[in-house]
Amino acid sequence: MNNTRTPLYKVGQIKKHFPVLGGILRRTKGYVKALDGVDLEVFRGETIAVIGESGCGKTTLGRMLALLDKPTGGELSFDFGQGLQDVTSLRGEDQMRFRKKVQMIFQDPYTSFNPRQRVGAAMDEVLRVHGVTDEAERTARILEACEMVNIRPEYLQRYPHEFSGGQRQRLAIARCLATKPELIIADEIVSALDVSIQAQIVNLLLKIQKETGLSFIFVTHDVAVARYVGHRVAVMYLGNVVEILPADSLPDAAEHPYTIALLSAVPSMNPTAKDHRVVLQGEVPSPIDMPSGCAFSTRCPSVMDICRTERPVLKISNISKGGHQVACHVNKGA
Amino acid sequence: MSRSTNKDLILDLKSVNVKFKVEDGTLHILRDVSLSIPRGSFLCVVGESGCGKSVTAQAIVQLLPDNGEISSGDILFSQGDQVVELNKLEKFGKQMRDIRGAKIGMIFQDTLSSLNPAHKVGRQVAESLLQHFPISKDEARTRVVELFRKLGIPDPERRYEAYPHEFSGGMRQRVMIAIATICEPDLVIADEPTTALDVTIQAQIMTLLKDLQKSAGKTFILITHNMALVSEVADHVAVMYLGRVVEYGTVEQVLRDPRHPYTKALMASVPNLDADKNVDLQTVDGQTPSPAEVTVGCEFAGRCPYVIAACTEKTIQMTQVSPGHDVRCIRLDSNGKLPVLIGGASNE
Repeated sequence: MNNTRTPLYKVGQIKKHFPVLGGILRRTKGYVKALDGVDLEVFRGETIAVIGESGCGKTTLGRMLALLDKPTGGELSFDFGQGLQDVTSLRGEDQMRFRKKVQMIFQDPYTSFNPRQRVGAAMDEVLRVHGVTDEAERTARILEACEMVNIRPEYLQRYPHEFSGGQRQRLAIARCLATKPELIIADEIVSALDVSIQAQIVNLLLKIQKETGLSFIFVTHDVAVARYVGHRVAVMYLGNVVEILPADSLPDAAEHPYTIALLSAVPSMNPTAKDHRVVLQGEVPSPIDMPSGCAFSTRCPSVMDICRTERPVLKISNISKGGHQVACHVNKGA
Repeated sequence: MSRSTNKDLILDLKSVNVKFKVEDGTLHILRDVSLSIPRGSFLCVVGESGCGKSVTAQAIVQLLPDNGEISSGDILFSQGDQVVELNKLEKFGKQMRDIRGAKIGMIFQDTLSSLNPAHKVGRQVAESLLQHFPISKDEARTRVVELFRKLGIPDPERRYEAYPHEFSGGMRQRVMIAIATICEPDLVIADEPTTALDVTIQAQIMTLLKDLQKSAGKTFILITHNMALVSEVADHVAVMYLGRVVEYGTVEQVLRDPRHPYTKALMASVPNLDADKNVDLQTVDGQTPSPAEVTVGCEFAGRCPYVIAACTEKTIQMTQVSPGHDVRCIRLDSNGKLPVLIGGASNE
């Protein structure tokens, strides 16, 4: 990344530790380290795809960034136009200003709409909450958003159950767009859809980004989708970002042993892909009782002694440099 | 392969039709589904939600929901030298119960709801053995523990005593595979067994299934929506759309050289790790119609870029484009190629 650019959103060493209670006195027995020190920068007009397996903390990260949950440590700063500003301490109106700029879309659009409210009314409500008092303007914005996602205006009079999954997801996107956000956090928004519908939504997001210059954080478990929609891909494992690399350079440039294993586990149409498969042994350790040192050390095929004692930090890759960062002891840093 | 004699076929579906009674009439869910499955092969049935792939599995083992019934067609299952007409058997009669579980094993997607949360998993696996064979409880236990070990469940003696919630998703799926294979069935039907699992765990489970096919000579029917997974494990592929098999052939034939417009569209809409990022993913306009909407003609006609008037006039028959490769489309020319579209909707 160009150093002269300032990020739109900067995440510094963010942590989320959920207490585990036990015993009759409900004392804290330990912590689930859902996020254990994540650094990330999102630039204007950029899509960062966050990938990882269940339990790696990717959804928690999305929720932190949208301020839906309070981090237990670390910094979040957003650029409202006058440089980066801390957002974790925002309250009341200031927080609403942030929420208008940063919107979130969830996996299941059926549960994110009120089943008893017409979808048009649901979208109108969001705008009213965000202080758009002029009714004509609200209508204009809703219609504009619907046009962007190819939903006919007469559909706004319908109820959520009258739509297919793909249409509902497009409505959820339109509802976000109506507030004119600068960053959209999309959490597994295509996972529940059939592939032909998934392709419609993915193409739609790329088109919207081209037209509006929005930034996206696209959380997904599907590596191929991540590579397709993202400019950069952040790979998470057990509460840590282990690698950040340009999406174009996938799959060949991956350096972290976990990324390599993850990529090789993805079924491929390419008949030769099977030949260099790394099948990881065992399962992801519990985040309550994290391995000391590198979180991946218990399953890593190229583990060294240092990995078990010292946790590697994200450093610029000494092979491909540029925007490529890896947290692995093999990488000595550029 | 598809021309093999009846003896080599473990399962032969002939024009199976399934109808579901609903509030306002009946829905034609499976439409003349014919599939011939050679012994020891790995067949994948692919398609999107609502294409009838799971209903096909349910029809084979006679586990259709109460409002569904096989209205016509034959399901022939060969057991040694005998051929049993599964669809003629009483749904919960002794003969069907003896086949289900013992001769045909089943693996479902949602492991948490397929396992009884109040019983120890070992007992749930052993139950199947005790049901079908006259053996003692201790003997059953030994065999379950042995199978757990073979399936890569760590510490099998202790895990025998554990409850389903104590297992991870991947381990629960191994328990399901144990239930499906403990009686050594010849045929295993797996309905989206890895959809709820992470890719690294999916890779472990698929390796396991593929090993069972290769080393134990079992026949597999895998129902999935994941085309890439199909390309890795299948010998044969059946592509379904709205209750009908629209294309059938070997993996090479169907995935490397798809002929039906729907198969082509499906393949082009999957993002691939090796694909060019700057080309838009191909999409299929609209969405799958309800089975009530299409009663005559090609089911895909409403979304097909190659559609002509004749497509919607009568039922389209399967035509062979090369030995073993059948496609249900009248727009193919004598070489089995689709016409070139102006505007380039074809991805060739």
